[in-house]
Amino acid sequence: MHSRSAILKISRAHRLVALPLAVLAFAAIWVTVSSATGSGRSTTSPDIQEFVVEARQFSYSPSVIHVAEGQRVRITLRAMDVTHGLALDEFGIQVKAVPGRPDQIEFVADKSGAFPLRCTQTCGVLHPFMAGRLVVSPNVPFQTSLALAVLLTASALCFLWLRRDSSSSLVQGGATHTVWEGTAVAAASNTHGAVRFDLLALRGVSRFLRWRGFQFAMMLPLLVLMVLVVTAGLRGTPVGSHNIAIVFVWLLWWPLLMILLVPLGGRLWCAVCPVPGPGEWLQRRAFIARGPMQLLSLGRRWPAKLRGMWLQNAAFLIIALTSTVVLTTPMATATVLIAFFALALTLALVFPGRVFCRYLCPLGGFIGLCSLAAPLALRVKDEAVCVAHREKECVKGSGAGYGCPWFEYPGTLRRNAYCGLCAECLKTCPKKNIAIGLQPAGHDLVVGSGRLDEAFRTFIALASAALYSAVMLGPWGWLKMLAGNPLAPYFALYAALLLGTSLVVVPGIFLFAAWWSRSLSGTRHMPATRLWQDFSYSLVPLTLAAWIAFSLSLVFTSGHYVLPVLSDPLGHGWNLFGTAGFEGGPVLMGLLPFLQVAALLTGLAWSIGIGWQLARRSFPAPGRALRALVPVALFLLGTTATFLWLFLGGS
Amino acid sequence: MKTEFLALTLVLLVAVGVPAGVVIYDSAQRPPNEIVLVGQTPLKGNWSQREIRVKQGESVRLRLTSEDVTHGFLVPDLGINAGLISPGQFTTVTFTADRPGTFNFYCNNLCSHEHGAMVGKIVVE
Repeated sequence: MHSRSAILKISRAHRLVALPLAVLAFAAIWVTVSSATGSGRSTTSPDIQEFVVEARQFSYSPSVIHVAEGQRVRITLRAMDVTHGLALDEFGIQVKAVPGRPDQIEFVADKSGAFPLRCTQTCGVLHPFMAGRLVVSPNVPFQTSLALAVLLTASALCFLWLRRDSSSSLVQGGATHTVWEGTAVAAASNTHGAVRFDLLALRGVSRFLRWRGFQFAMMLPLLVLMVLVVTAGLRGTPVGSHNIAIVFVWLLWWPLLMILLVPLGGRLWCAVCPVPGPGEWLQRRAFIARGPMQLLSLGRRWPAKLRGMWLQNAAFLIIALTSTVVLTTPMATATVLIAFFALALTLALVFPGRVFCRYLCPLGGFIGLCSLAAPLALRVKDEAVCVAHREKECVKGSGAGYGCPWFEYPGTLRRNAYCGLCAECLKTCPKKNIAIGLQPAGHDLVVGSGRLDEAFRTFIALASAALYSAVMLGPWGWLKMLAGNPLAPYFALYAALLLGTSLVVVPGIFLFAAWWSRSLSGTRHMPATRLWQDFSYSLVPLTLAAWIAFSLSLVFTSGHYVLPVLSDPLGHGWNLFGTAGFEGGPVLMGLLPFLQVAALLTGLAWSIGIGWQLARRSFPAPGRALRALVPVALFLLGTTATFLWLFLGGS
Repeated sequence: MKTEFLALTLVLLVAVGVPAGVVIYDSAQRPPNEIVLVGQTPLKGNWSQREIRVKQGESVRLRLTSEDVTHGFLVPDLGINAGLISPGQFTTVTFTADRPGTFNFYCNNLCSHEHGAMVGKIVVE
């Protein structure tokens, strides 16, 4: 009787997993076959295929041009309102059209794939985002990468299925986590040893971080840049591509942050960001030295209701809504920076510590979320030491330094999310119990119980990555129109689109995945919302990958503006270093799609891996965990496919 | 205390010195007899100077640029056509007006619906 039910159970499990796997396998075969045979539109192949492209602020019509590989193509560009251009960097050609004087280009479409058409003449505020797309079918890069994503997901699930019995190790660390099978697992509570390479073992690093001047020394040069950016934003040219305020902030700092600093260093930027500087110096009445014990502030307590990430989520959405303006208008970027400085300063005088960074900074929330996937971490070496040590200088402060300005207690710190790496606890801890080092990347995503504000933070970050890519890189002029002018009535549509995708559509689809996950795993007594919240952490690596892919596109397409702006920061015709005349174009555009695909596929695999660990945490039985993972993996695959489509174009 | 004082000096230097330096350098870059003329579509403010006064027989340097879209610069009566004036690019025109009078200058590259209103005058005294 018992064995029979077990067999039934297994076969049911097989069925439940087999179905999605079969769908995946079918999709993989279909995609591979269609990419091999070429599903592109068949052309009757006249000698030359002609297109008349009308350019208007800020789109081309038609905005997507379909041709077959090997076809000879002639594009006539007509400027309908102001002077526009059209560059096809992949084919090394460009053309410029003045209103009333069309011009044309001719080329052989000898590469397959989707290639951006880019406007070359500054044609107004949204000029940097004026883009079209040439799709040379069969779109092999897109189809191949899609097939790879499908195969990757399918093989990851198969691999986990085959190994389901051998893997029994539960996630270590974290507080006691309720497991929904009637048993509560006493989680291994000691994260001791989670940090593998203590960087403080290096004497230079240790001395630098323990030096009181560490933060000041990092902030000062960045403050120079910030002041320059604000000055240029207020006084320089309103043409974004020629103003350091836009070029340095959005084409240099932002990509560096997303591509290198955050994935490797997590919140490292927060340790050097000069925005909280003025407020903190006033609060402490000192720049470097340990000032008076009492902080200069009204000493109010931050309201308990506002703790958490909700304010940061709202702030991020506000910036996201106005991003097309902020990213293109130097004055807007300067204004946002000034607002940040002013807010941080004001809050520092009312509340002790870094209230702005912790609870308000939209970027802080975003970086904090991504930092969960980063290997750099600050932890205590031995939690037992902290338990026994009652003085808690790390929280209260001592003669050597301040109590944690981020309101964290290092003794129980298990995640990067809210640690600003300011290194004060390094100075205050008399037991030398703090380590800054490397941990397995993504470790923080599977410790700690899920939080709703953090789940929404992920959904917002994921949805806005997709929308940014569509608005700024995509060929859809109407979308740019909607997003371009926050004062126009139709902007309400864009706001509805952004807020709707971030707060309803993406969370909604994921909730459906969680609900499906619950029924596949056969744990009906478990609330689907709980799974939804817990599994949301598995989206973080893919979200980070999407932002990396988006930022890569910014660097490759517009990074060349950095050189001229270095010599002419205000766009007033200076030439400080002789590079003002540098006229580069996009570089290595052929490499870009490969890097984007690599980022997305890595993100996908990593996300599935995290999903597996999260599933194992909730379901100790591996078979059940795997069945719970399948819908999440499908969601991740769907997300990856969406981004591949956004970046590499349709077929 | 000494380091604190140094830090304060550095911060003030950055906060005041950088903007001041930028402004001073910016004005020092301009030759005294140069006139900067910035083109913008009429809706956004038109030519930065609608009327330019110059003296007869004096050499005038016009530095032309745009802050939104591509414009043109044409003074038919003085025989000047500076070609396309693109955002972020600078075109310098030098001329000497040898007769007094008022000469209109135009944007001669379609720049908006109000393109026709993008007119200014050079008054030679």
